[in-house]
Amino acid sequence: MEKSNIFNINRLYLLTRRHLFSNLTGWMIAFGALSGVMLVISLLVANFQPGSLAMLTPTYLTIMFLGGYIFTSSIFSELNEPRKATHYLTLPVSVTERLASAWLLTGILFPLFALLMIFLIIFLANLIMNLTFDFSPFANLFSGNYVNAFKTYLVTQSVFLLGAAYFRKYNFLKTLLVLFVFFVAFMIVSGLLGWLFLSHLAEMLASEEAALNVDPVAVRWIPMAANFFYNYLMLPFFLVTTWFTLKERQV
Amino acid sequence: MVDIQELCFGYSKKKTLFNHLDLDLKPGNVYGLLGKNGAGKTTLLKVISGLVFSDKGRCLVHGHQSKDRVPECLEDICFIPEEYHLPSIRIDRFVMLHAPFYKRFDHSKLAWLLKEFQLEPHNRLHQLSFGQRKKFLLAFGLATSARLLLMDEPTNGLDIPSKSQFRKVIAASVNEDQCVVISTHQVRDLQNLIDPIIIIDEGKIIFNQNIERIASVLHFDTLMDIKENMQPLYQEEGIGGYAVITPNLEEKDSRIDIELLFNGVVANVNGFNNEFKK
Amino acid sequence: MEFNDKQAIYLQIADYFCERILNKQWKEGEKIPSIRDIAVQLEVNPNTAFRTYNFLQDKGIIFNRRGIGYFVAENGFTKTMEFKKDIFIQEDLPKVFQTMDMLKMNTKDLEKEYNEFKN
Repeated sequence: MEKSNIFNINRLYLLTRRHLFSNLTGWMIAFGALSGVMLVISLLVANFQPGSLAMLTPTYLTIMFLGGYIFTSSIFSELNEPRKATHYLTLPVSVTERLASAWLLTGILFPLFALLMIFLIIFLANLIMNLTFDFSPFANLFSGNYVNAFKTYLVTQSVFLLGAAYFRKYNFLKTLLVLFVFFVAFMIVSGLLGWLFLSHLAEMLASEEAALNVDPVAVRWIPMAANFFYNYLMLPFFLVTTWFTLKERQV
Repeated sequence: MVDIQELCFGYSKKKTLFNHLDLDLKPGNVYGLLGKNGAGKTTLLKVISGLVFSDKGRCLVHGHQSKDRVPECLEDICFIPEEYHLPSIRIDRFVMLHAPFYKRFDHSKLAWLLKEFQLEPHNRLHQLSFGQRKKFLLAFGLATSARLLLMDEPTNGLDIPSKSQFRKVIAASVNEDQCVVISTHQVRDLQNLIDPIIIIDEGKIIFNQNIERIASVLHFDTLMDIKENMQPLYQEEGIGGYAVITPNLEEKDSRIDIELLFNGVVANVNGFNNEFKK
Repeated sequence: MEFNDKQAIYLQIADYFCERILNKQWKEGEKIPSIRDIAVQLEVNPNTAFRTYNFLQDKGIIFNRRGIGYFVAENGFTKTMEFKKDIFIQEDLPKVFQTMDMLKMNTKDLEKEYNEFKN
């Protein structure tokens, strides 16, 4: 049977498996160490402030997000070293499969695994400190909070995925730097726009007649657009940009 | 198999490496790609395997643009670079993870080659010596049954018995629909193996002839002195006299000294190419 | 096998074959190694080995049975003798004669030396 040169599920499986097994030891150590630290923190908190374990969830989620961003930033590390890149780029897989595999590992499998780990830690901490079997975290698996966290992670990590494919060194820090510069620039521009717009508005409000014509929809338009971008466009935009970046990557 | 036309490439705008380079590679050959340091041997192999992109011109491999990195095409290319990184896993695990990418992967051939190179499936790749790693890559590459094999200085880092093994393995396993390109400056290691000879210099392929044709056009000899009426295409003074290349007027086959040929062609491109046009 | 620097590789391999036929290691009508085997054994390009086989086939020393392999011809020994004799007369003897001239020796001297060698 002729295989597609654009996407083939078997090749995606092989690529993901290759990636996973080639790095398994390192990833397991990092994951294990982090989980250990989190468990110790949980036990300490549970010891000093019994009953406040649930309050740790935001901390855990933060750690998960940060860990995920760093992990995402390193997912194309093979590309950053010419000797490894030669091997990676001559593997008979398509750009789409390279992207899909990286995204599957960092965007889907990682947060699922991390969430599972968080539940396990809370469960273990409860078991050890309070000698109770608390299954409530598992019951909350599909509760709004976690689904929201998962969605936020998915959208934001796509930026780091692009950073991983684009930069050749210090991918995580450079992505952060770009984000920082971008936000500062965004603030300045939106501040300027707001000032211009508002002063204009003030002028308009000065004449009563004009004030009647101010359309509240226009004022709400910008946040709506931003929301729309964040919810529906950001993820596809960064994935597509990453695809093109990967396609153009050379040794 | 490989069709390069009008290829232009430069790492920066001022420094061009390839200047309208043309090259056509056909199956059933073990090409020897020769060139001075920095002539672009490695870069040419990288362009062919889609690792770097040309600025202008086209490079087709099995009918696909090499820069598109089409899976079907990559499956049929095996590039063995001079320096290579391998993950720190066992040989059998590496094979388990990578062999399924190649649908014509030949496991019995791999087993034979590993045995030939005295490598064990349980050896850990990062614990192998440089030469052993290279032999492993070669074994794996040949087992993929890729029709295009590109090797950059394959004998570098191999000990004397391994070089002999390398020549045997290449002679044994390359068949009529495969094409091998070996870039090297260690001509002595491979002088009986490579045919045709390709010479790259100053951004172009300046010479591309097979051994039979070279031997019929040129005559290689070592002489005590050079007679007045003799006009060698190229000569080098050595201990045993003069090593000379002359037109093969007597139509006698002589042993080709590839190093001498290389030096001659680089020094006197037009003189040599005129002989081949006759 | 060590190759010399003078002669084309495929001719040196042909020499090696002739030697084997002349010292009866390869007998008439017997199968000889395949092109691939010889290429591997001598570490040469299979195309070079193929030229040797072609060359010896043209001389009538070996022949090809499609799909089976190469064999020493029925009169392979005689043919090899003739071939080697030709080479000796055309290439080696002139050099000997040249040296003889230089040293002012004649065929009588040569005869004497040859007889001593035979005894």
